[in-house]
Amino acid sequence: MNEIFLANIKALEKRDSSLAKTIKESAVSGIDIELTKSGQKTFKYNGAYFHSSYDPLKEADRQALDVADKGWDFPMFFGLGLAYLITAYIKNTGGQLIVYEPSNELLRLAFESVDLTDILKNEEVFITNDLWMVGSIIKARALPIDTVGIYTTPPYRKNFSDEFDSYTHAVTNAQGVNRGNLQTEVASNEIWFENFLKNMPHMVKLPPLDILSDNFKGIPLVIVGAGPSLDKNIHLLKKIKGKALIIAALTAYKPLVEIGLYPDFVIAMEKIDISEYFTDTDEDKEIRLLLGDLSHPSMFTDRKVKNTFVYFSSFLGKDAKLNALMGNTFQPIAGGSVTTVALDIGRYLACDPIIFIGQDHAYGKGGSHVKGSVYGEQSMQLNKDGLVTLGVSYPGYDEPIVQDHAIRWLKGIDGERVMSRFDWVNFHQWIVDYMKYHNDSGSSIRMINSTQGGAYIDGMVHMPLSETIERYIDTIDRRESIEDILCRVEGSFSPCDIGPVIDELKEILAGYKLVLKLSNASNKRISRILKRCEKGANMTQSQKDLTAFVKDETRLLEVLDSVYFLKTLAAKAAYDLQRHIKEDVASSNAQDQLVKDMGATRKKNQCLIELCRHFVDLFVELIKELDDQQPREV
Amino acid sequence: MTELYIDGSILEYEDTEGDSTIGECIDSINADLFKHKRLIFKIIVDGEEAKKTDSQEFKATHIRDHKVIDFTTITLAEITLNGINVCKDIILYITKGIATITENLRAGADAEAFRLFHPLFDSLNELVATITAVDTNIEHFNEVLFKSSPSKLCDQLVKHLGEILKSRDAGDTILVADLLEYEVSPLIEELERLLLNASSTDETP
Repeated sequence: MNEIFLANIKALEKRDSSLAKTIKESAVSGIDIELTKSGQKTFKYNGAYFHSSYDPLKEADRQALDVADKGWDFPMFFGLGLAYLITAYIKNTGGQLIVYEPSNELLRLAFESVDLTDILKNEEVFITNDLWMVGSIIKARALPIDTVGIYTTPPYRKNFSDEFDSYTHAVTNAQGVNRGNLQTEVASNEIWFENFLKNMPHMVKLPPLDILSDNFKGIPLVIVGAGPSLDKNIHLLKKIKGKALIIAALTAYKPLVEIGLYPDFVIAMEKIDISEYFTDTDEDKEIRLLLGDLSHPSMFTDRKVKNTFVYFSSFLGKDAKLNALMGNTFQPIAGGSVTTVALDIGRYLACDPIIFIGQDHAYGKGGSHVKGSVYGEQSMQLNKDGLVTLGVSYPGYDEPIVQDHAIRWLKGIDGERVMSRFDWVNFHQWIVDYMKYHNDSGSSIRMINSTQGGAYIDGMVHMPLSETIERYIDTIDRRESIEDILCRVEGSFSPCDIGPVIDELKEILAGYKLVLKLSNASNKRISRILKRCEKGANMTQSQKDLTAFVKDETRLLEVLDSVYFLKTLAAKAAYDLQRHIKEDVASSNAQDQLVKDMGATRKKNQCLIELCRHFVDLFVELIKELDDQQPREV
Repeated sequence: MTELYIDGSILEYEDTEGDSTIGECIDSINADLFKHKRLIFKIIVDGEEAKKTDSQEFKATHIRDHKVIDFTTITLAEITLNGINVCKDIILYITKGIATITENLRAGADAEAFRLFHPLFDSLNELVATITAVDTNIEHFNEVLFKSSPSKLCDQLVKHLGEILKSRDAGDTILVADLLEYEVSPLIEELERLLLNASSTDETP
C-alpha cells in the first residue's frame, strides 16, 4: 500500500470507517493510471478515458463552472473519478455536496492515486458508495426548499447507467420525502394538535399501548395493508387467527370483514372523520381500535368497538411529562402511514416475526387498493406524459373521483420495476431506512415481507405467506390465545390520575400565553420602527429600537423553543421566513432591506399570534372539561 | 472534326491519326499557358462541364469522340486567391463545428455531437484537398506562397482525423473531444494563419 493510500484511508476512517473498510477490501484490476500531457493523472475504464488525457484540470474547471451555473443549493455528484471535478467545485464554489461512487474498484483507484485528504477532512463534503446514505444525508441536510441537482460526467453515465438510474431515483425520492414531510406538517399540524387536545378527555380514560408491552414477546405479528395484492393471500389469515397478533390498517378492515376475519386491532390515525371505513354494524364490536392520539375526535366518540387502545405519536415533540402522566413512555416512530407505525409498535412489543402483507407501495393491475376496501371500483390509465389517471368510487360521491398522479418507480419483488407514486415511495423509503436501522442494531426480530406483489423492501426477507405461516406460525403451541392475552391485559388496566395532567396543561397554557404576549410586543415595536422609516428616520436614529427588537426576537425564539408543540405548529411561518431569506434578492440599500426583513418578521409573528389565540382557547376548554371529570369529594 | 475552344476562341490543332487524347491536349495547352502563368480551370465537353478532369479515365478519352471541347483558363493568381477564400470559409465552418461538437461531447450529448461529424469531416477533407490543390499549382509554377509547407500540417490533420474516428468507434468521447480541441483546432488555426499571410502579402502570384 502506498503512502497516498494510507493517508487517505486514515482521513476517511475518522469519518466513515465502514467505507474505509470496503475500500481496503477492494482491489483494482486491469486499470492503469496514465500521465496526461499536462502532467496530471488519468485512466481508462472499459477502453475509454474517464478524464482528459490532455488537461484534466481545465476539463474539471469547465465542469465545475457548469455545475455552479445551474445554481443548485445541493449538488449531488455521481462519480468521484480522480476527484478533479470535486476539487475544482470546492475551490470555485464551496458549500456542501455529496459524491456517490458506484464502483468500489474506482474508489480504490482514486484512494491509491490522488491525495484526497483535504476533501476527506472537509465536513461539508460526503463521499459514499451507499444509496441509503445518500438518501439519509439529503433528508438530514437538505431543506425542503433546496434545489437538489444531479451531475455526472459522460464516462460515468455511460459505464454505470443502471447505477445512475438507481441513484437518480434515490435522490428524487429522498428530496420528495423532505418536501412531503414539510407539506404534511404545514397542512396538518394545527388539525393534529386540535385533535389531540379534543381527544384528551377520552385518552385519559383509555388504556395506552404501553400496557401491552411484555405480553407479546416472541409472538408473530401480521401487519395487514390494503395494497392491491392483498386479495391473493388474505384468505390464509383465517388459519392463524388467535395464534398471531393481527393489526390491520383501517383501509384493510372491510376486506378482512368480507372474508369473515376480525383483526385483533385496527390501527388508525386519520385526522378527518372517516366513518365510511367502518361497517357501523355489530361487526365493529368484534374489533379493538389502536388509535393515534391525533385521530379525528369522532374515532373516540362515535365508534362502537370492543375497546380502544391509544398510541401516542412522536410527532408532537414529546412533552415527556404529559405523556408519562397518561401512562405513556413509548411513542412509535411514524413513517407517514399506520402500517409503518405498526411496524415500530411490533418491534416495541418484541413480536417475532413481524410480517407484512398487502404492503405493495405500488399500483396493481386494477388500481391502488385491494377490492372491497372503501375505494370501491377503480380504473387506471397510463398517460404518455408520465402520469397515471386513477378513478375511484368513494362513498358519498355519485361520480368516481379522478386524479392524476406522477409516476415514480420502485424495484419490484420480482426485480422488475413497479409503478408507484409519491406518498407510497415516502412510506417505502421510510421502511427501508427503518430496516437498515433495525438490521444494524443486531436485533433478532425477523422482518418478513409476505406481500404477494408490489415493491421489494430492502432489508426484509421476502417469503410467500403460506411459507411464512408454515415456518413460523403453524409450529406455535401456546395455551393462551391472542384474545386471552388482550382480555387479561385489559382487566389489569386502571385509568390515570387526572389532577397532575391538569396541572401540566396549565403550565403549557402559560407558555402559549407568554408567546402571545411576546409576539404582540415584538410586532408593536416593528410597527414603530417601520413608521419611523416612513417618516424618513435612518437606521442610526432607529438604533435603540432595533437593538430592543433583536432582544425581543431572541427572547421570543427562546420561549417558543420551550413551549409544547408550538414551534412545530409554526412550521409554515418558519418555512416562509426561510424562503424569504433564501429567495429575497438583497437590496443595495440597507434601509430598504430592513423594511423587507421587518415585514417578513411581522408576518411570522402574526402567524404565531393567531395560533396562540386559537390554542389558548382550546387549552382553557380542555382544562375545564378535565376538571369536570375529576371525582369530587362529597 | 472536333471543335476545340480556349476561352471562347477557336483553337487550331492537328489530329492526323485521329488518336489524340484529351489528356494530351490538356498537357499541350498547359505547356503553352505556363509562361503566361495560366492554367486550365474548366473543361466543357459537348455542353457539359467535365468532372474529375484529373482522372486517367477522362484523360484517356479520344478527342475525336466528341463534337466540341471548350477550355476555360484562369491565372494562377486568380485560382490561388479563389482557393484561399474557399479555405477561409471552410475554416470558419470547421471552427464552429469543432466548438459545438466538443461542447456536446463534454456534456454527454454524444448523439448530437456525432450527428455533426459527417459534415465536419467532409469540410476537413475539402479543406485538405483545396489547400493541396493550391499548393500543387503554386509548386507547378515554381512560385512560393506559404511561409511553410501546408502539406505537413495537412498530413498531421489527416492522421488525427483517423485517431478521432478510432476513438469514436471505441466510445471514448473524452478522447475525441480532446483530439478535436487540442490537436485539430491548433492545426486549423495554423493553416488559417498560413492562408491569411498568403493572401495579405505580395507573395500571391
